[in-house]
Amino acid sequence: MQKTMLKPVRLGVLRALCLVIAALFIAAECACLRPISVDSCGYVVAVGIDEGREREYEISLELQRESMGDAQPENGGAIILSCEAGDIFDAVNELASRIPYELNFTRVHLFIIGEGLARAGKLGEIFDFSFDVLRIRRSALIVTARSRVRDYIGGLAANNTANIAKMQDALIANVETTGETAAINVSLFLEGVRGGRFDAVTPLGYYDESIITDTKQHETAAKGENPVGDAEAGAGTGGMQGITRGSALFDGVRMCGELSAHETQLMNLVRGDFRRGSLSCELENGEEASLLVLLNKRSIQMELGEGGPKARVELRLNITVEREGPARLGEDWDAGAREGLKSYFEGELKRVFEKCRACSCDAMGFGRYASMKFYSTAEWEKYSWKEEYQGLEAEFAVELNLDDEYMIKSGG
Amino acid sequence: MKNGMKNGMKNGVKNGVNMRLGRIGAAEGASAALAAMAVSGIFTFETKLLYEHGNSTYITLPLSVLLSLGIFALAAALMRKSGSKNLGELYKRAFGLAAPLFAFALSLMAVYSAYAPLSQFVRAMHGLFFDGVSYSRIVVFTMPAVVFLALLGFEAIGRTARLITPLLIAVLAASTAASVSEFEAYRLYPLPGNTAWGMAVQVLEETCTFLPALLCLLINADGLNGLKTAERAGRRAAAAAALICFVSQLALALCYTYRELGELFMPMFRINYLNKFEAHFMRLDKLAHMMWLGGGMIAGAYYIYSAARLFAQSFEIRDIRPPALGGAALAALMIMIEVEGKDREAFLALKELLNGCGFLLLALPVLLAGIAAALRSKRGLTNAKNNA
Amino acid sequence: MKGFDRLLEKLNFDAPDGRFELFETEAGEPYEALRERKERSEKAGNGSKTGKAGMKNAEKSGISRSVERNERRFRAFFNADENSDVIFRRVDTWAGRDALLIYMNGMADAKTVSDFVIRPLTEGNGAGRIRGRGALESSVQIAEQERESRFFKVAEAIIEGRTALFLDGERTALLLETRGFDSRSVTTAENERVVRGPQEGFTENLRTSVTLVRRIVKTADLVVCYRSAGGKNGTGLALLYRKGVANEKLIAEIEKRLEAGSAKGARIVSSSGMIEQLIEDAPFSPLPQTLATERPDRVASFLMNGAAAIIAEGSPFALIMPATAAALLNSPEDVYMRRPLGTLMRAVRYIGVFISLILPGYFVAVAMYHQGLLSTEVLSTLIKSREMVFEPLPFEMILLLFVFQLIREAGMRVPGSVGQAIGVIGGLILGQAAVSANLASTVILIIVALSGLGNLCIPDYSTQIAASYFRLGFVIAAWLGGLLALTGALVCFAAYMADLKSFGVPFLSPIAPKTFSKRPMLLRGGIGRGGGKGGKRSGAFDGSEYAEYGADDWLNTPHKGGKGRFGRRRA
Repeated sequence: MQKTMLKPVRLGVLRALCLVIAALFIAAECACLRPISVDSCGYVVAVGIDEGREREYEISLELQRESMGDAQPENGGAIILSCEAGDIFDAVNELASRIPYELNFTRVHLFIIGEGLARAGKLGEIFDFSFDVLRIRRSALIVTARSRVRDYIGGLAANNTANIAKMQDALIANVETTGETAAINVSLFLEGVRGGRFDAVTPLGYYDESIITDTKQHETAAKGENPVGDAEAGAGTGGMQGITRGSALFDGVRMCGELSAHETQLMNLVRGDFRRGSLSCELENGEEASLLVLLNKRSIQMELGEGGPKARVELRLNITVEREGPARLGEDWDAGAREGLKSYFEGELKRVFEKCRACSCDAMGFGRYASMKFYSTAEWEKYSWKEEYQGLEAEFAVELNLDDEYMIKSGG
Repeated sequence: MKNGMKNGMKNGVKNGVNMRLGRIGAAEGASAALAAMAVSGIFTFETKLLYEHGNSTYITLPLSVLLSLGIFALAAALMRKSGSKNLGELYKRAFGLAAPLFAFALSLMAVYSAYAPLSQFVRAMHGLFFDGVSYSRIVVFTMPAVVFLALLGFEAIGRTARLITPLLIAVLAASTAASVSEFEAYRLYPLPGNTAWGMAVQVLEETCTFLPALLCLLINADGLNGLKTAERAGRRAAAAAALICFVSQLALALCYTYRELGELFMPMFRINYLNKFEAHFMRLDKLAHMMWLGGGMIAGAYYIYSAARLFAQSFEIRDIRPPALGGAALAALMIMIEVEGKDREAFLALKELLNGCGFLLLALPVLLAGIAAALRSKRGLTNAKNNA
Repeated sequence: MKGFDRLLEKLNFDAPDGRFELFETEAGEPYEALRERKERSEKAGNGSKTGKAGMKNAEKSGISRSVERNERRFRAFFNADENSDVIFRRVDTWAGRDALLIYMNGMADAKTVSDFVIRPLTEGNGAGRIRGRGALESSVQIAEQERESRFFKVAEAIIEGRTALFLDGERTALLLETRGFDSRSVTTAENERVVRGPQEGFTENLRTSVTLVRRIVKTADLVVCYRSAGGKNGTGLALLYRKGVANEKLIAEIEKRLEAGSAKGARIVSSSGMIEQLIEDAPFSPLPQTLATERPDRVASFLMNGAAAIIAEGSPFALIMPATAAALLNSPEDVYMRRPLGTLMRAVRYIGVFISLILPGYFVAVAMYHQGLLSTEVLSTLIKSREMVFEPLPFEMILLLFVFQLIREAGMRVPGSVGQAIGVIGGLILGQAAVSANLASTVILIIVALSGLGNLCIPDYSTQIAASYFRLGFVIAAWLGGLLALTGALVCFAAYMADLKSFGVPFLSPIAPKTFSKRPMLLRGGIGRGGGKGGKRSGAFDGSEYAEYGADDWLNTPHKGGKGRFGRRRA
C-alpha cells in the first residue's frame, strides 16, 4: 500500500536546540526596540523659537495637557515651557529636565519663529539641524510672531484652544474663508526655498494683551464683577490673546517684509487660495465698502522674452456690495461703480505685487509659471528666476460681475 | 554526503527533494512578481541619482518595466523552443558544465534584488520610526518574516502575495488619493526634465530593478503549472507594475519638484506631508509604510526563494532550506555592510556599478543561454534525423 | 563530514514534505494534466451508475420480475457495499414466494417494518391464509400502500423512508408507508444559534444524527459508511459523503487517516474532537482543519457540494472536511437571511474578526512606539486614564485579555443563567473595580472589550480560541518591536495560513489561491443558479454556504463538468 499518511512533525532534540539558540540570540540581540509608554511622554504641540535676551535663543514649547471627559483643565489645556539656550538641543535638554516625562515632538502642529530670527534668516539653520533630529513632522505649520513668541504661544493656549491640532485646522480654514492670513507648512516652505519657483509667505502672529480671555471672564464673574461691561476692559473680550492675521514675506529663508491683512487677501486672490469671502475696499469717493467676493476664474500667462519676463494675471470676480439698497446699487453699477472697483482692484493688486517684488519675494508664485516654459532642467537651472523676477512686469486684469445682477437690477 | 546526493539523484530528484515548490496559478504568481516589482519600483531607488537630471521617472520607469517584459518574453520563447521547464534547466542545456557559474551569478543578483528594498526599509525604520535603535536590531526584527516565508516555499509565497498585494495596491492608491489636493502641474516642469539620451540610459539602468522579479517567475516556471502560466503571470505583473509605477511616480512628481525629490529619502513616504489640513488620517502614513514593508518582506522572500531554488537546482542540493537561509543571511549581511559596515564606501561603489550595468548582467546570460539552448536542441534534432 | 551529514539528518533536511494535497486546476495547467483529467472524466461518466447520470439511466427502466435482479440493481444504485444505511432484507414468505424488502435505516421506523411487514409476511395474518394473487400484499398490515413500477420512483420512496416490497414474479413494487423516527431526543443547536433557519441539532445517538442529515439530503448518492472510530472502547462513527460528487481521492485519504488513527491504538475515543486530532493535517496548528458543527443543515449544505462529514457515536458534533478559513468564518445565518442582510452580517463579522485580531496589538504598538499616530484627543485621554496604573501598558493589555478569557471560561463552565450572570458581573463589576483599583485604564478596557466582542463573532469555537492565541502573539510582537514586529508577525500569520491545507485543500481558498469561484468571499452569493460562469457548477447547489467557501473547485468529481481534482502526495 502506498504510504500516504502525513508524517507527524517531530521536533528533534537538536532541532529544538537550534530553535532555542536562535530565539535566545534574537532576544539578546533585539530585546525591544526601545519602547516608551504613551504616558511617559509629554507631547509638544507647538514649538516656538525667539531671540533670547541673554543667550542666542529663547525656546518655548507648548505641551498638551492630559484631559479626561468633562475634566478640562481651566488654564487652556496646555503647559508652556520656556527657556533660553545656545541652541535648540540645549533648550530641549533643559526643558526636559523640568518635567517628569520625556518630550515627544511627533505631534507638533505649529512651529513659531520670532520676527527677529526670521529677519536674520535663521530659519534655514533651524530646519537643517533640528527638524529631522527632533522628529518634527514636515506638515507642521509655520507662523512668524511679531510679539514675543512665548507670549504668542501663551495667547494661543488660553481657554478653548486645548487642542492645537484643531487650531491648526482653523488657521488653514481662515485662509479660505477670510483670506487675511497665509498658511504654509514646513514642506511647502522648503519647496519655496529649494525649488526657487516661489517664495514662502507665513502667517503673522500677534499677542494682544488687552483682550479679555474667557478664563478671565470666568474668574471675574465668579467674583461678582462684570469685566465685559468694564470700560477699561480692553479692545475685546473672549477667545485667544494670540491673534494670527496678515503675513510675513520671505526671500528664501530670510524674512524680508510683511503684508497687512487686506494685502494678504489680495495676494491670496492671485494665488487662488482665497476663493470666497468678505473684502473691504475704498471707493472713489473715499467711502469704505465691504464686498463679498467670489473668485470665479483665475489665469496667469507668462512670457519670457528678451526684455525680461512679463506676466498677465486675469481674475474674474463675482461680488456683492454690502453698502446700499439693491436698486440704487443696480443704477450705480453701470454708471461707473464697476469701472471704479475694477481700477481699484487692479491698482491694489499691482501695489501688492510691487511691494513683494521690492523685497524680492515672489509671494504670488510667478516662478511656477515661468518654470513651465522650460523643457530641460539645464536650461531652467541656468535661467535664475530670482534675478529675473526683479525685472518682472506684471499686468493685472480684473473682470467684475455683480452677483445676482439681474435680480438686483430688477429691484431685488 | 556526496553519496547521499548521488543516490538521491539516481532515484530521481523528484523522490528525494524538498524544494517546497508546490503549484500555484497565474494569479498567485503574478501577485508575487507584482509585489516584488512594485516594491522595487517605488522604494528601492537612490533618489539623488534618480532625479539628478529632472523628473521623468513617470515615463522612464514604466518603459523599464516594458523593456523587462520584452526580455522576459524573449527568454520564455527561447525556453519553450529549447524545451526547458525552468530557467535552471535552460542554463544546464545551454552552458553545460559552466551552467552553475551562470546560475550562481543570477542567484546573487536575485539576492541583491531582495537586499535592495529591504535595505531601504531598514534605513527608513531607523530614520523615521525607531529613533536611537541600532540597525542590527531592526534587521533582526525584519528578517525573520522574510526567512520564514522563504522557507515555506514558493506556493506559500505566491498565496501570501495574493492575499497582501491587493492591500498593498489599495494603500498606495489611498496615499496617492489623499495627496490629490496638493497636486500642482508646475512641479512636473521642466518637461520632461531629462534629455532623450539621459532618459534612454535611465530606462536601461532601471531595467535591472524590474527584470529579476520576472526572471524569478521563469526560475519557478514548473511551480506555476508550466511556462505558459508563468508567461501569463509575468505579463499581468508587468502590466500592473507599469501602471503602478506610472501613477505613483506621477503623483510624486506632482507633489514635489525634482530638486526636492532628489533630497528626499523614500519620497513615497512623504507624499502626504504637503497636506496642510492634517486630519487624523493624514498621520496614518506610518501605517501605510508598514503595509509597504509587508510587501517588501514578500518581495524579499520571493527573491531569496528563487535564488535558493536556482542555486539548489544548479548545484544539485536537494533541500531548499540551506540555500534559502544562506541567501537571507547574505541579504542581511549586505544591509549591515551598507548601513554600518567599515567597507561601506567600497560596497556603495559596487552597488552603483551593479545599478549601472546590472541590466547587462541579468539580460545577457539569459538571452545567450536561450539562443545556445535553442541552437543545441535544433542541432540535436538534425543529428537525430541524420542518424535515422 | 559524517558529522555534518548527521547534523543535516537531524535537522530533517532532504526529507520530502510528504503532505497530502488536492490539485487545484487553474487555466494554466499543463496539457498532460488536462488530458488525464479528460480521460478520467470520460471513464467516470461511463463507469458510474450513481449520481444524476446513473439515476437518469435507471429511471428509464422499470422494476424487474426477478427479486435477485432487483436487489442487484438497487444495491448498485445505492452503493450498498459502502452505504450500510440501506437495508436489503430477503424474506421467505408463508406463501413460499421470495420477497425482498428495501428500506433506509433510520428513515424508516424499524419497529413498524418488523412488526407490521416482516412478521405478517413470514407468519401470515391472523385472519386466515388466503391463497392467490394479492394474498401476500393483503397480509402486510400497513394501511397506506402504493404500487409503483418505475425504478426511480421506488428509489425515491426508499430514500424518503418508505419500505419497498418486491415479490418474485411481480413487475411492480409495493411502497409501504413506514416513515418515522424517534425525534423526541433532538434538541436545539446550543452553540450555533441562528435567528432564522432550522433550530435542531445533532444528538449523541449516531443513528439519529445520520437520519437528521438524511432528512435534508434526500439523494441516492449519499453514502453513509459506519466503522469503528479507532478507540479500544469500540465507539462507532459514520462517514458521510456523496458518491460521485465528493472527490474520490479525498474520501480515500479520509479513510486512510481513519485507519491509521485506529492503528494508533487510542485507549478511548469518545468524541468527534478526538477523531479530529487523529486525522488532521497539522496537529500543532492552532487553526482547526475540520469544521465542527452541531447543525444537520450545515452538514447537509456541505455534503451537497462534495465535502465529507464524520459523525461519531456519543458526540453531538459532526466534523466537516475539508475546512477553509471562509467556512470557519461563515455562519449558516448568512444564507438564511436575505442577500443584502446576509452580506452585511458577514461584513460586520469580518470586521469584528479583524478588530479582534489586530486592535490590541496595534494599540500597544502605537502607544509604546508610534505615539504620533494617536490623535491629540485620544492621547490626552489615555494619559489621564493611565495616570495611576502601575503596570506597563502591554502587560496591562495582556492581563485584561487574560481576565476576559477567564470570565468567558467561567461563564461557559457553569450552568445557564449563572454563567450569564458571571459574564455580566465579570464585565461590569470587575472592569469597574479594576479601573478603581488602578489595575486597568478605561481606554485599554474598551479595547479589550471590543476585541473580545470581535472574537465572539467567529462562529467556530476552535477558531475563536485560535484567534485569541494569535491576538496574544500580536500583542507580544507589538510590545517587542512596535509596528515593525507587528507587520512581521502579520506577514508570518498570513504565510502560515497560506501554507496550511485542510485535507489537501488550501486553507485560504478561494482568495489565495484564487479559484474558479467568481464570487467574492465577502459578498454573499445568490440562492439560485449562476454561481460559476459557463455552468461550471451545478446551479441547484450554489445557494448553499459551502459553494461560497471556495473549496468546491477541489471537490467536484470529473463527471460534473470535468472539474475534477486529483490527489497527489507532495514530493
